[in-house]
Amino acid sequence: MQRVRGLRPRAVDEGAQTIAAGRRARDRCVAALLVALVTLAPTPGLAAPVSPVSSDIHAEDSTRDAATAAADAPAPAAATANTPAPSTADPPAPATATENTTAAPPTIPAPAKSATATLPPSTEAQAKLAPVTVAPDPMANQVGAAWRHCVPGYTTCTRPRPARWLLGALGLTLAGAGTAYLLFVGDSLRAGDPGGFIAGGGIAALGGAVLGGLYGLTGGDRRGDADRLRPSTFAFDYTSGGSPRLGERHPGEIALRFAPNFYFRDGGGRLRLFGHVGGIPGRETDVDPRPQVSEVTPGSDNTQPVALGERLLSIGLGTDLAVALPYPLLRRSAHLGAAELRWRPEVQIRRHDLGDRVIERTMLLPLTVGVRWYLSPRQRFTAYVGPRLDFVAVAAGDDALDRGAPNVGSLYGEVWYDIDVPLLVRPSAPVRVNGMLTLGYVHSRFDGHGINLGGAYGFLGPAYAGWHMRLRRRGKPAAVQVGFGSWFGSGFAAVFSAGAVLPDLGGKKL
Amino acid sequence: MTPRLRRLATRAASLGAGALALAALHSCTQPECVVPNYTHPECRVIVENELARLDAASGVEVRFVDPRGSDLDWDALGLVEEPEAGLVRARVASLGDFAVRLRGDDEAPRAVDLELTNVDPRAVLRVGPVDDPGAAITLPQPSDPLLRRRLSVDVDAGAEVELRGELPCPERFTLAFVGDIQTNPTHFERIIERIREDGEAAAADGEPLLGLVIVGDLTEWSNDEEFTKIRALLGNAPAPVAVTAGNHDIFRGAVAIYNSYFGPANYNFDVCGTRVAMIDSASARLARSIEGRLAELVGRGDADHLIMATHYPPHWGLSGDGWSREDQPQILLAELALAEADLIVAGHQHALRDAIVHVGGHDLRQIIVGTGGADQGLGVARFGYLRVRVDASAGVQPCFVEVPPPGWAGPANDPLASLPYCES
Repeated sequence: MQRVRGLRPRAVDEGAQTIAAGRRARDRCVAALLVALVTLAPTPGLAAPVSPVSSDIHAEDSTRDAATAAADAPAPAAATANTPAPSTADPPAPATATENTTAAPPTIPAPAKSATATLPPSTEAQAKLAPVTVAPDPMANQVGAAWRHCVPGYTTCTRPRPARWLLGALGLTLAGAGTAYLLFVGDSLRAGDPGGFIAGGGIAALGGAVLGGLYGLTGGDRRGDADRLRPSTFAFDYTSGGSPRLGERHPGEIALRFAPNFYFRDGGGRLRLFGHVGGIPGRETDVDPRPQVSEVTPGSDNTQPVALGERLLSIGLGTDLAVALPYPLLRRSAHLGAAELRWRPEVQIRRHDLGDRVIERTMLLPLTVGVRWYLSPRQRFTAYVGPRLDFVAVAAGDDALDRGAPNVGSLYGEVWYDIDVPLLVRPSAPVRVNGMLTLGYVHSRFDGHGINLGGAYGFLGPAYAGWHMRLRRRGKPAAVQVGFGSWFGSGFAAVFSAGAVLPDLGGKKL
Repeated sequence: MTPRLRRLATRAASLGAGALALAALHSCTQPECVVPNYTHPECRVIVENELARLDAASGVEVRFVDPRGSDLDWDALGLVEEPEAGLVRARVASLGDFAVRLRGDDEAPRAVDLELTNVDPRAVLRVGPVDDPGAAITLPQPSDPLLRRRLSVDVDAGAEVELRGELPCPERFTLAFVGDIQTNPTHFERIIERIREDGEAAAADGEPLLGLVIVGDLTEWSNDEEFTKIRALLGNAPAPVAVTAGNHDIFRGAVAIYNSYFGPANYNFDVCGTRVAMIDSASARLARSIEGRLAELVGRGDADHLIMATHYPPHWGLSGDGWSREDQPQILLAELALAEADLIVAGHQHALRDAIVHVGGHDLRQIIVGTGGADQGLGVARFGYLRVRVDASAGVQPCFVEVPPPGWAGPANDPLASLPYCES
């Protein structure tokens, strides 16, 4: 009998069945492709299949400075000579617009009753406090005034363009410095940990500044909306699994998330409790591709046995305390945007059930601190960094898990850049729709793959890009929030998210 | 509903439907590595197993099998190639015992000229039919200390012959570990020379050197010239060499360059009561099938001691230079804790490090020995190798031998607090 390499003799006997199964698989594949093409063809702006993950919108903020709070009011803005023409998505420019901001500051009229009716109660109250006087821009008539112009409609000037240039330059410098540190200082002097975060965070900051600049050039440097996106109070996320091979099952991950907010009564801070419970729905399997273990099974396309079956339980819990800094922080500040400080202790647990053994990984982040920079009313840059402790526990059979002592892990860090895109914020609109584009970099490979550049593996964490939208019916206290995005590492994972936004607790927003 | 909102809803629905359709594309799944990319660890798993078996031009099938016994037809424990018709070369990947089987042509008896490489000169070779081990004959010991044997094996039609190599085991012995040669094979030659000198001295003391283990990064750019040079160097080493791949050895996606020169990167072997598990972490991750086989690969079995060798350190601490996904090294550590591993040896970081890693109630010792010659940055380079003394009663005892480059009168660095320099 002729031997077939890689298959036991039974493989030859079952050859006809294998051919038929292969045809079935091919037919299914072609059908799915056709459906995808037909469905996606009329969708504008979708050039490629969307793929990958999800956590919550980590980087969304919550606190705002006085200028941003004013922006939350539905009052129409006062346009200046330097202000790009507003898009239809923005509140209509009032007739009181001035052409020269060096003149006496114009007073913005109080919001119309019809306008405030579209906002939730807390925002309405805020809106009543909002009528403000626009500060004069002392640089308005100087060379480069357009570049340094203030966002109109605020008591305190914010200059998005210099702020973004500063962030971009800082990002570029840090990316170069981090890379040089990694390459030249070397292992003998223990280079590594900060270098990776500095390089990755720098690139993310640069990327955010560039994207934010492009958005600003299209007229995005204007008032923000009071109902901008923050993490849903409750949400359901689905993250796609990696592309499975024949005989494998990669169902992805699901997670139920929560992130209620409590605002301090003095308006100076916010505390958020956040967390999730989720994991792999069912069992993820991977096959053993070694040719000497292949075997034909009647009725199956696949000849490779399962090598790994895994169930995963994922739990996370943390709090995020944000405290606003005065703005401008310095008397001679160049009005580059408000800032706030953050502290975010957190614990993440992953329990891998591999059948005959359970392995539990815990990441403890007790001292993660952060800073948020409001480069413009619609754009925010946020960075977190902190030490990390890892616990690895294992139990075979019926043994109990023993968590033992922690190991000091690598530096943990996150960098995010958020851009608000108000889509439908007219006071008369029955549904208020706000969008947000988020770019981020997480300096940790606790979940999933990091970015690998050529053979330079293992220095960086994954990056995230996502689009989320909040839809709120006029006058309703609750809103719906949906979104999708993708984690990019050595591969990518699509994230789909849907959640509800309930009224915040505590005092007024910042 | 306003027209604008309706448009939004339509687009959202279209996007959702498209996403669902894309999700349905999983029915396009194909088997692993249909389009080979050898930077992917699963493709290397396939090729390392395929290269351990060969249908020779003469019609004889030559394949490596596990000398400890296995249910499988063959195992990735070596590299079989036919550089010219009629001559089969088999590189033994493991230290200690090994076994090669030859299955004859169905039609007629054949003779195979077999060249075995990376074989300990002290190993005793026996050849005989598989189904009658008692009929095996013992081959004469070579007179020279080379790591190469040549023999001609007659295989009857339809018969199967096994060639076994068995290493006489001393009470105590030493193993040498080093990684990260990359751009500096010249200095690596100096390290090899030092290993040879130390091995001769150790043999005189009754602790012979039974093997050298290289934990990856044999080359800088995965070029043929680099691999040819390093294979020639290792062919003249003072003891057999077990190798696994590093990230610099797998740059070429279209060619399984590492495997075509050295064979497997995921395997284990027993050398005189000590199990050494070699794990391919060259892509800073494991193949998922290897992850599923960790209990088998890094399990202790019947061995007295267990040492795991891999390129990327499973615990990289504050270096920030680690695996591409963290679940796998942590699962690997958990398996090693279950197996109560005596030592983890890794490379990748061009330095010498010694750390205790806590896994539940177990403490694992991890030594990073990326000191084979690669650039170590701005600090004073510490080149050399890790010598591990294995004693049935005293266990596994590592120490470091610094081999400074020419110009230094002696060791250029002080020993680590927890890892002494060896007393030569």
